[in-house]
Amino acid sequence: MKPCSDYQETLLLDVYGELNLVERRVWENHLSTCEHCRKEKEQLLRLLKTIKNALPTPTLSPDKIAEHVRVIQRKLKEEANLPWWRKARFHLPQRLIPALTTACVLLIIISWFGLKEFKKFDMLSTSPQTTSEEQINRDDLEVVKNLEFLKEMEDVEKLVKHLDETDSQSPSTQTENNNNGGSDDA
Amino acid sequence: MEAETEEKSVSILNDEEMVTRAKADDQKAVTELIHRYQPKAYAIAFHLCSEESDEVRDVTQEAFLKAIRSIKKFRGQASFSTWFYRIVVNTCRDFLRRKRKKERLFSLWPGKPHGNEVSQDNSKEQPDLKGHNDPMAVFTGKQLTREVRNALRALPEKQRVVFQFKVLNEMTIKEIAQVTGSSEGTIKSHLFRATHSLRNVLKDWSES
Repeated sequence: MKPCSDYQETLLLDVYGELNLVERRVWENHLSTCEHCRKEKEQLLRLLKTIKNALPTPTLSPDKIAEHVRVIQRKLKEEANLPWWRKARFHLPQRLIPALTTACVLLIIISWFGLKEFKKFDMLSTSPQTTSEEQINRDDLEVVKNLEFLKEMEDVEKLVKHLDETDSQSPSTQTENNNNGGSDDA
Repeated sequence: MEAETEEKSVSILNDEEMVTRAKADDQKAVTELIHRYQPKAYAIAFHLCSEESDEVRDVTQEAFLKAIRSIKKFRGQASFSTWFYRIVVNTCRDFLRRKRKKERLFSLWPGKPHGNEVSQDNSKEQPDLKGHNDPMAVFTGKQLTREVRNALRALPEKQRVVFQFKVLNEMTIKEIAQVTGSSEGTIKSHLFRATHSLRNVLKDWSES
């Protein structure tokens, strides 16, 4: 058995107590003449009653309510004594807390590795290899700067060598000369 | 005597005045608001997220704490009840999300029962012989409860929530629309669809 199609919505609104006065008057006029709709209404009301009976809404005793109120008040007092940075978390949307925590952890990890890489780079720039290369470069520069001096030193060395050679040769020549001179004199 | 008179005077205030006082940190007004809305908040949480009294109590308390913490942000665009019920609904949703996550986590643990199986079915289906002398009536009652609960669970979430608000929490369509942030037309549509589905599933019970 189906209700009249024009009144289907009205029927449901009536069952749920949502009709205004004008709608109700029109609907009641229809109900007085339509048996289908009357039966349908009765059936729906029975269904809702069945559901309500099957799932009763619990009622709280005054003692229970007082206990709940006490717990809430105690928690509010405890919160009031918290430092501001701990109170701040209550005003953050709860769903954001895990996301923010994850973001913070990631930031710490990235910063940690970033710092490590930076240190590595820093160490590379001051590593022993680089130092020796730098040392070599510094030595070269020193050589270039004192090239003239070194050349002079080389010349001096050559001169000394030459003099030494000359010195070593001169006593024999002198004795030869002496010998020749003696015979001539004789 | 004076305190008693003051308490009485607070209890006769309407919501708007009470909220104004609560915003000014008047603890009596806060207490009265909790007293006034506790039963309804408890009923909403009971039908919406859990039937375990401890869980319902925790959810209700959390909703009150959230509401009182942010009462200064309440600008009175909607009624206090609508604003507060929305907080209760959101708290219930958060609770269910956390519960589902926990259940998913424990389901990986071998040998651990699922939360739902224990809390919602087994405990409720034990015949309660205190109030009824007829075991048949008790059995029928338990079976009906189980079938109604299953039929409700089978509904899409939006339809189920709207139906529960309307039938079990006795809210008007306008209130439900404000609490859920949907239009009245959408609420009507969900409600009517839920009614048709439940009628088909529970035909045997409603026709007898």
